[in-house]
Amino acid sequence: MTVAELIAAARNREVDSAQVEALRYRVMEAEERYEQDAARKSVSDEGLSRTYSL
Amino acid sequence: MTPFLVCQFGKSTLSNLVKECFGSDFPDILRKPQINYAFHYLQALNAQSVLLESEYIDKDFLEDCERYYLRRFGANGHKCARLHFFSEQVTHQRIEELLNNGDETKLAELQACYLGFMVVKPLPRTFIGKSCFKQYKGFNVDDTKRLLARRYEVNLFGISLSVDSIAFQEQDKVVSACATTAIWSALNALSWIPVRAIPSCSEITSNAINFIHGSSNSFPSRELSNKQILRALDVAGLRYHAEQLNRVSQSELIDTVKCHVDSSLPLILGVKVFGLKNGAWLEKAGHAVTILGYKTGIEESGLYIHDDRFGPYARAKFIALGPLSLPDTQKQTWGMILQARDDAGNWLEAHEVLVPDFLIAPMQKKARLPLSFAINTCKTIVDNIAEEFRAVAPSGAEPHRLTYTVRLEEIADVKTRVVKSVPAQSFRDTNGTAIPLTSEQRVVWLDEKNRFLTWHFARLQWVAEFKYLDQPAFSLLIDATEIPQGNAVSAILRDSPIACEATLALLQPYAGKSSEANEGDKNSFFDSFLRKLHQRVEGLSHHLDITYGAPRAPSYLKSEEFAGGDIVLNGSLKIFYDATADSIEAHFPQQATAANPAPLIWAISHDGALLIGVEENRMGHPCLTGFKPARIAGELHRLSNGWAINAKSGRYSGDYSDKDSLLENALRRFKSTFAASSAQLSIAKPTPAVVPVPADLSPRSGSPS
Repeated sequence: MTVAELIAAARNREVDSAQVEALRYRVMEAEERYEQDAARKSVSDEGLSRTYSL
Repeated sequence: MTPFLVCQFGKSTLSNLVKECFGSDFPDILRKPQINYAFHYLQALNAQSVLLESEYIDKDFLEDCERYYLRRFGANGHKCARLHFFSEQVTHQRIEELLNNGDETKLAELQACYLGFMVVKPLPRTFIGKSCFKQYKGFNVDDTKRLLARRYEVNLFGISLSVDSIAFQEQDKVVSACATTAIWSALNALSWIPVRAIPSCSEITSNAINFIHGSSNSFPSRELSNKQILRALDVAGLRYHAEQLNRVSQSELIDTVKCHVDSSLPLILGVKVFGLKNGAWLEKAGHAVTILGYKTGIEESGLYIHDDRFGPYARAKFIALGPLSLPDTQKQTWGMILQARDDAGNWLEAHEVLVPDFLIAPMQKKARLPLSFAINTCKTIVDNIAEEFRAVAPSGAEPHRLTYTVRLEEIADVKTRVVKSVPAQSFRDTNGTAIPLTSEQRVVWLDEKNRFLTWHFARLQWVAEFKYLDQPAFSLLIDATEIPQGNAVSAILRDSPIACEATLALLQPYAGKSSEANEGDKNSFFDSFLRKLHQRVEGLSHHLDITYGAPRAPSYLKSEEFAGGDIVLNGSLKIFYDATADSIEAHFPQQATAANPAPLIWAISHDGALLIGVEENRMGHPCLTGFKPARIAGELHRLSNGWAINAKSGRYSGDYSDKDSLLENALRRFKSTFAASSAQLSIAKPTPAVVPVPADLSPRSGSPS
């Protein structure tokens, strides 16, 4: 698909309520993944106590 | 003492010059890994000469001395020495000539070959003080290899020199441990902190250990905890974002480093160090270093760090930990090794492995939002555009290729860049053809650019630059001072209107439709992005700006136009909000029939109304508008066969670059407002250019109102 064809397809495109709901669901899933990422990287008390002495 | 000594650069001369500084108490300095590293680093920069400045007062050591070393019985005083390195032959004669006559050309030549300096502190063993070495060539050319640097001004006996670097020093194991020097180098890398305002290591350590429960408020300092590092950054007036790395992938760390280094921000990295002993890897201890650069791309990726046990800009290469069988790595699969060269310039085999454990990103106090919010927003945009692309593309189509980079920038820098920007005139399609920019796209782009530049924003923004098919598409600005539940997307800048039609346009139908599924905690600003996209479906104000020009304040008032401090309103003013079936004559019969009627003047008001009135008593357009901002304005003249409008208004229409097209639009407005006069309305023919005549011969005439 060329860019010109894509632009023609995207122009004046409309979406229905099912597509809006599908987008909402995808965003919700993404937010859950980000929440897990944040938990994976979050700082623990043990991490805060780690020392550097070399 | 001789104020300076100059030698050829070499291992033996370097060793002897350091010994010359403070007697011969130092053991063989080349056994120090930092000196060995510095020697090879400078050798790679083609160092030819070294100059010893015998006495030098170093601000950092002076403070350390005051806090601790001064009362040491065997103290060598507070004076340091400083070594300067050059990539050309420098002799005593050359320096003395410069000191004698200060020849500008020769000063410039000396600057051109200046490689940096190293302060030598009067301490046994841990004598390497503030050291700034020029960076290797090949960095900061493109976005695959970057190193942070700032300019350090150097004054050598009145000779002004400078070096672009980030200061390094080794820990002295008394007022500073590794974490202290890592903080100190990080503070040096924060370009908005003046060099002289950067606290010394002893002050950083004091700040770190005070107020933390269980801290020993005294030197010597053997270690700092992460909590103490964060405390030191608090005292330095910085915001920081911290994360644990034991469950983070190598690519995630590289992405994080890239974004911060691209934002001119250093990172403090805590690692576990494993050393090889009797053929087995054993954990030595925790260690802290400063990340100041990265290398990505087709070749192996890596980080550039200041490691106080090693040297400045040391290259850390990623390795897989699997084959090494390290103890207690919490299932981490990757680590790093520091790479050093031998005398022949070959990479030496590493004897230590660093396993990343903790990452701290210090930044401006106002940068409240961590990078993750910007990254998550970009990911959601890319994923959803790809999803929408799949919905419109035929099966088997190449995937939608939208990439992004993120960095923290000050809005002034963004605007400085935008003000110089021009839209790409075409976009290269996948089949090789060029899709040209239309004039309408150009007008909208200019309007958006103007609106962005004249609008106000928070000082700090996470700026995400998106590329479609490797060509600039759009930039997203996320207010870094916003709170997580806020509406943080502050602007969408269309770098290429054509690329935006193939990217943003796919999500445009969702603009204004909330994507929020619940009121839980948010980790991205996708919904804010959709709201900002919705704002682009411009309203009346935008339409009026495009059609009749953005509002202008009247440039001046005539004395006849105000009385008693108030604007005199035109008594004949008629306001037309909408189309009518009337003729102009119906509203202004005198101007239609009188032999020599007073002229009519008109203006499009701020809210789009057509204002028309009779110009009487030198009361011009401001009396129509009430001295309020208005758009294009001009005169309406009766002709023998109809009516003609022009854009003559010294107060309102003077500076529109597209005045002709705005006047065309105004004519259409007149035709719709006065449908019965539509056929008789036209644009006045331009009057021939007036040949200037001497002032004493010219008749008195008024300027356009």
